Amino acid sequence: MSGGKKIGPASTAILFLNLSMAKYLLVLPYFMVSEVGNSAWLVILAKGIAAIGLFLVIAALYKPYVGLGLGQLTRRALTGPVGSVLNVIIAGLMLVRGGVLFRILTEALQTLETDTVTIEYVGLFVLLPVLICAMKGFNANVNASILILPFTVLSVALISLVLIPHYNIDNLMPVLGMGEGKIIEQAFFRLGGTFELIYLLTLSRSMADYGTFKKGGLIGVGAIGFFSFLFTLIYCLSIPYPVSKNFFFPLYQLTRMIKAGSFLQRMEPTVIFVWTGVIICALSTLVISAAELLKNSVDIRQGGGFVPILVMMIFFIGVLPRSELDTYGIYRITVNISHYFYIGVIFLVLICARLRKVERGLTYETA
Amino acid sequence: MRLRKALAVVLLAAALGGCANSAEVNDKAYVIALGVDKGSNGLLKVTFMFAYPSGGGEEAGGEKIDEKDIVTVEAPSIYSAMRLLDTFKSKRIDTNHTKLVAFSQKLAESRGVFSQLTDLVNTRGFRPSIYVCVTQESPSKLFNSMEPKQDVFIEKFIEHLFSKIADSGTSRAYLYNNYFSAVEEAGSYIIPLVGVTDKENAGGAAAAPYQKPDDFTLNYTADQVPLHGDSVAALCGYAVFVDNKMVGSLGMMEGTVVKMLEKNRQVGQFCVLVPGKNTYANVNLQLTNAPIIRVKTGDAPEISLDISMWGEFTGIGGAFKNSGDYAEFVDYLNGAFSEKILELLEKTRTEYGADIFGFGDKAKINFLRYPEWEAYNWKEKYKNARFSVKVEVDMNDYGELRFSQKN
Repeated sequence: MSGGKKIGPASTAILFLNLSMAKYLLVLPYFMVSEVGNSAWLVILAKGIAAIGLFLVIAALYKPYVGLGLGQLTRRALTGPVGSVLNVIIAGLMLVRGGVLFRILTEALQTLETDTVTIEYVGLFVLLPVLICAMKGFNANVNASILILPFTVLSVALISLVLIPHYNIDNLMPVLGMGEGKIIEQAFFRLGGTFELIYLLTLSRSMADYGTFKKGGLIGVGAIGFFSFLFTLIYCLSIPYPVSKNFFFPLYQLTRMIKAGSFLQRMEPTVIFVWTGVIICALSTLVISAAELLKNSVDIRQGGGFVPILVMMIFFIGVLPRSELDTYGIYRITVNISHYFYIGVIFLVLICARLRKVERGLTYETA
Repeated sequence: MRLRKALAVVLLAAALGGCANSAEVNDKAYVIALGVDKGSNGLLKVTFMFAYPSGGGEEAGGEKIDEKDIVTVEAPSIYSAMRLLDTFKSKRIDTNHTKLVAFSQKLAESRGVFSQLTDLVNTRGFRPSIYVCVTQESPSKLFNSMEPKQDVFIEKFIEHLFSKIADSGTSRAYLYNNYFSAVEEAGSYIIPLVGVTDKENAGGAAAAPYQKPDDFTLNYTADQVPLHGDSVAALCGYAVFVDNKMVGSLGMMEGTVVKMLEKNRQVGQFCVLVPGKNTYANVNLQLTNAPIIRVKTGDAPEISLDISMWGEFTGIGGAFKNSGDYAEFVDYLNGAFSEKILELLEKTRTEYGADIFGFGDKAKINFLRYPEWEAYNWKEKYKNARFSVKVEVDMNDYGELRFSQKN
C-alpha cells in the first residue's frame, strides 16, 4: 500500500489534481451557479485564493508531522480511541465522496446510450481497475494519473477553443450575480478544498519531506484552482443564467453544444471516456487514503485487506435508489457539515499535537 | 517490459468490451425530422420522418431518393410518442441524426412550445444543435411537401435550407438557442417560420398574386410568398413568441433585420426601389462590425443602435446618371434602413410588448446584482422603451456600377 518508494512533489500534485479534478470540473460549476448565479467564476477565483492561503497556514503548522501522516497523527494527538473514531469518520466521508463520484460516472456513461447496460456491468468495469490500482498503491496510481492527466487538460482546452463562438460577455452580467453577500459566504465561509487538504495530510506519510508536501500541495491547489476558474468562466460565458443552473453536468452540456456535423462533435463520447479515467484514478486514490486511515485506527500494519471492502462500499453508496435518501442526498448532508468538520479536525489535531509534543519522524509501527 | 505489460493490458481491455450493447446501423430507424402538432383531447400529434434505408445514393449513381417514411402518432409527449412507435416499428428508434423539429403554428399559438423545447433539450437522443422551426401547415404536410431537386437526400435538403439562416452560432434556428431564450428572456423569442404552398396551385391562379411592391424593398409576410416552382416548402420569416406562445410573425425583410441585429455577417441581398425612379437597384450589404447596442435603464429604457454596413451594387438598372444621384441614393439607403429597423422595433414593442431581440442582455450591464435586475422588471419596462437607430452604409466602388451604362 503506502510502503515502498516515497513520492515526489510532481507526483503529489498529480495525485491531488486527480482527486479534485473530477469534483471541481464536473459538478462544482453547477453547484456554484445554483448558489451564486452567474458570478460563480468570481467565487471560484476567490475560493482558489482562499484555499492557497489556508494551505500555507496548515502547511506551516503541519511541518513537523509530515512523516507521520494524518492517520497516525490523529491517534497520537488525540489518544487512541478518540483518534481511531475520528479516522473512521473521515474514512467514511471519503467513501461517501467515492460513492458520489461513482454515481456521477454511471450517470455520465448513461448519456452514451447505454440504457440497456445494468449498473452491475458498469460497476464491474469501473471498480475492477479501481480495485487493482488501489491494491498496487500510490505509485501505480501516480503512473495511471500521468497517463490520464494530459488527456483531461487537452479535453478542457479543446472545449474552450471550440466553444468560442458561443461565448457571450453579456452572460456574465450582472457581474455580482446573486450579490456580494453570497459571494463572500461561498468563497470565505464555505472554504473550498478542505477535503483535499485532509487527503493531502493523509498522503503525507508517503512523501519524502516537508518540501515535497509544500511544493506538491501548492502546485496541486494552484492548478485545480486555475482549471476550476477557467472552466466555470467558460460555462458562465457559454450558457446564460438562469439556464445554467438547469444542467447538472456542465461539461457534458458544453460538449453537446458543439455544432452538429462538426468533426469535433465526436469529442462528446471521447470526453466522457477521458473523465471515466479521471474518476477511476480518483476513486482508487480515495480507497487508498481511506484504507490508510482505517489501518491506523485498528493497529494493523497492512491496510490492503480493507481495499476490496471499501470498493464494495463505494459501489453500494453509489447505487442507492433515487426513491430513498440517495447518493446525492447523503453527499449534500455530508458536504454541509464537512466544510467545518474537516477544517475543525485539522486544527484540533494540529493544536493537540503541539500541546502533547508529538514527535516527528516516529512512525506508528515503531512507536 | 513494463511498457509491454501496459500494452497487453490495453489490448486485453479492447477484447473485454464485448458486444452486449452493440448497435448496428441496419438495426435502427433514424428519425430525420420530427413534427409536433396539436392533437385531439389535449394530446400531441407527433410526426416522424424516417431516413429511407434502401435505394441508391450518390455512390450508386447519384439517383435521387423520393421515398419518404412518415408516421404520425398521438401521445401526451414526444417521449411517449417515441415509445408508441416502438410497438409497431421493428427497428429501434434513433434520434441522433435528427435534423429538424417542426412545431405547427396551431400548437404554437394555443399551447406554446416551451415544454416541448425543454423535453428535447433534456432528452439525450436529440442533438442540441438540431434546427427548430414553426410550420404554417401541419408538420406532416410540411414533410410531404419537401421535394428536394438538387439534393440527393432529404436530410441534406433540410440542412442546406436551414443552414442559410443558421450559419452563425447565435442564430435563432438552433434548439439550444431557442431554449436559452425561452428560459432567459421571459418567453419572448423568435423561431424561423416555414410555409407550405399548395403544389397544385403553385404559380397558378390560386397562388398568392405577385404584386410589385412600391415599398422600400420586398417584404413578404409569412403567408404571402409568391412561389412559382415545384419546391413547395420554404422559409418565409420568423414566428414571434411572447410568454412562450406564438403571437405573430415577421416577414422576410424583417427577418433580414433580425439577422443584422444578431451580428450575422452574412451578405444580405436587397432589391431596393430607387426613389423617384420606376426601377430597382440591387444591393449587397454586410455588417462591418457587430451592431453597437446601448441600453439606458429607467422607467422608459432608452435603446440606441449603431449599425455600420458596407455594400456594393450588383445591378442598378437605369437608376443613376450622375454622381449626385448616386450620393443621394446612398443617403436614402442610410435613412431608409434606419427607418425600417425603427419600424420593426416599434412594431415588436407595441404589438407584442416583448423584447424578442434580447436587448435585456445589454440592459443587465446597468445592474450589479441579479435580484436588482429581477426587481427592475425589464419585461414591463420594455413596453415603454424608446429607440434611436443610426445606420451608416459605406458603398464600395468595386465593379464600376456607380452609373448606368445606358440611358
